Amino acid sequence: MKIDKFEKRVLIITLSVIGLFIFSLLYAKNKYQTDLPECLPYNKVYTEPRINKLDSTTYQVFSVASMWQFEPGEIYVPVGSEVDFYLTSKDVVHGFNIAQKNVNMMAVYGSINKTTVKFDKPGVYDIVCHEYCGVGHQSMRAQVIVNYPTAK
Amino acid sequence: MEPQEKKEKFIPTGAMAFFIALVVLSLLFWYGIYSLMIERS
Amino acid sequence: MQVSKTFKRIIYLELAIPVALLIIGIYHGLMQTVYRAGVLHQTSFLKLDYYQGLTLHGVINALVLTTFFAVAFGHATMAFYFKKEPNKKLMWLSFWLMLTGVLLAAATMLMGKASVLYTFYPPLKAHPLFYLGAALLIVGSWVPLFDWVRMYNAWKKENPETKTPLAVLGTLINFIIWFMCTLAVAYEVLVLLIPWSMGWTKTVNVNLARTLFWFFGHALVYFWLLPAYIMFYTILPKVAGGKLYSDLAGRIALFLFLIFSIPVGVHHQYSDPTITRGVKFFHGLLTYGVAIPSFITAFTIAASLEYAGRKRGAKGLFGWMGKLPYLNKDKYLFGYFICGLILFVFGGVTGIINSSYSLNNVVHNTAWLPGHFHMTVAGPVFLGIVGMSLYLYAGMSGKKIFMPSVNAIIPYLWMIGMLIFSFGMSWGGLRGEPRRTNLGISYLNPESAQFRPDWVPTTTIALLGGFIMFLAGMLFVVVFFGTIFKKKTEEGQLDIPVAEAFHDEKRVPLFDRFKPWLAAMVVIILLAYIPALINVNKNSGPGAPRYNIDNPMPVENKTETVKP
Repeated sequence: MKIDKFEKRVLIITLSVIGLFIFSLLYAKNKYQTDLPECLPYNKVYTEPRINKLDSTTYQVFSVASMWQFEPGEIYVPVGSEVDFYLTSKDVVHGFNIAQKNVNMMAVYGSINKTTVKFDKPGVYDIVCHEYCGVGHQSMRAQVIVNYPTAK
Repeated sequence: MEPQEKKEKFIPTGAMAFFIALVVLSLLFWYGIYSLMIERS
Repeated sequence: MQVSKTFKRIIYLELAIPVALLIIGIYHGLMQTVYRAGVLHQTSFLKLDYYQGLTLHGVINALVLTTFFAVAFGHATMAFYFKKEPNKKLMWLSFWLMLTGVLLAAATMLMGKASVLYTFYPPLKAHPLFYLGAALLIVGSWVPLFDWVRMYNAWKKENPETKTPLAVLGTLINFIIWFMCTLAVAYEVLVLLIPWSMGWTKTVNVNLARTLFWFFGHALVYFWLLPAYIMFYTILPKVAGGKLYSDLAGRIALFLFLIFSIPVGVHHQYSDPTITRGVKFFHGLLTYGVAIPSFITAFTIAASLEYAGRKRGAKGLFGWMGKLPYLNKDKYLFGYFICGLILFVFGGVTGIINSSYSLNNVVHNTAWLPGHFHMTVAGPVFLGIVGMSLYLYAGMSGKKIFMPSVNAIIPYLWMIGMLIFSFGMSWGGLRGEPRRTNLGISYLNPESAQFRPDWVPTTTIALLGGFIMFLAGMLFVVVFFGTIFKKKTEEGQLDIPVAEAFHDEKRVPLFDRFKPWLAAMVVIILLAYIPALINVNKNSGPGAPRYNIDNPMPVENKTETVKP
């Protein structure tokens, strides 16, 4: 079967570009821990909203999304903290997006999502719901307030 | 209707150049978002 | 080719009804940009609520227009290449099922009882007739495939050694993909959602519903795209005055779509719970696979256009780009195609970014996403649909185009509007602007605690683009219906331009047979989806009760009386 030599070159170039992308993604995963959210099996222990401080720079946030808020709505952590976010929904599907930190998860009833973030810089980080969840969707927003340990 | 020549000469150099430009554009956009991802990690 | 009155009537209805609905569909597109830019700080305008409008916009533009056109264009293609009309009873059956579905869905949407968006994710609940309407639209679109396969088998018997015409191959492959992927959404709608929305079952596994939807949802975009690809491979080279550089490349691309269109759906669920990273990564790899035929197409179409340009005397590496019939009133299809292709460059590149595993964290559900998909479904797909609809109608009815000079510039106006719109949306998305959100109430409301001044320029740019597209869209509706109201000037004919192949490539049996590819398609789907479904089953907890859009308390579980 004769395939045109230019079409062959196009195929080779395309496969090389794909290979480059795959390598780059694996490299970033290894060096910067960039990855998709972690998959956990359902457990109702994650359905109670709360914040656990494990030590001065390690926190667990159990976030519960519902129509039309996140609980907890304000999360205070010191600069340099590593935070594990566990996420579920009490009702419909919601989104959970902290844009400046690559946090992008869906909150789904009967399921648990998880991601880990290191907050190196102080500031107020919006948690935006970015999946339509009914008439109050555009008002659904929480915040992570990251400040120096001495400030309160 | 012109008669079909036995061996019509046509080398798609322009299409190849366009394709390379398309690949370069893809790389620029892709690595742009990639560096944004790393910056935010 | 001469065609019967019945054939014409059915095609005209299938082309014209969606174009008429576009008036509502495109109006709601404009309205989204108006609300989002904070021009309005209200939940509704002229009695239509934002999310209701968003649902109408998605359903009309992305489900009704695309499905009706694929069926009509398929009928026209099969009839033209085989010089035989499809079975008329089946054509009518398909049309009436689809139309009934659209009417049911439209009624529920207009009554505000189905503001669930075109993805209708549970446990947000719509009226049962909305889901039924969607199911009828889909089942109606299955009918033609079976008749076309019958036509193809008859033709094959008479022509065992002849290459299947590329356009016919594309039509059959497109509808095979469609039939396979819609099985999942039909199951979701008929088995999971309708009984649940009626109150007969108490809960629904939301993760399962989403996974079934996206089994359908990614292949859906190829169902949209393949008719445009058929036009690019088999019609565009002729209209441009050239030849198709490689017919074999087109066949290889089509068979790659057949095996890779479906087993990639989880890339729409990268942020979802219950599915492991391993399965997500595997779907990501397969998605790179489905990008390959598009790269092949980009080169092959460019080569075909380069041939056309050089035939007109173009010199140098890029001179051929200048010698093409961009604004020729009689070759207006070229304009519709080329503007779609230019948009697709950006649509395709942004699509590859979205599917690149962890890169998805940067863009998922932000405004970047509609920025991407308007450059695909509202780019080559939309322009191919409307351009070809006009062409088929005018040809078969024997009428001249109404306002041909305006018609020639419509695709360019649309393209400019789209580039501006998508630039605003993409930039806004990278700044964290969410999609599917009435920003005017909060984030784009200076009086709100949520006000985001950094989203003002991005939403304003999108508004400008939206306005330009609205103009182009309305001009098209005027041209299309103006043509309908013109008087016939010659005998109507079904005539589709057919591109000649540059290389006289011999028939390659492997790329002219379905069985091995169908087998490969099924195997890859099983490899991709069995693990995903096992994940969903293992990691899911309880199912969810029904929720109306305006109440955080679930609907009481009593059987709902179904009122139209």
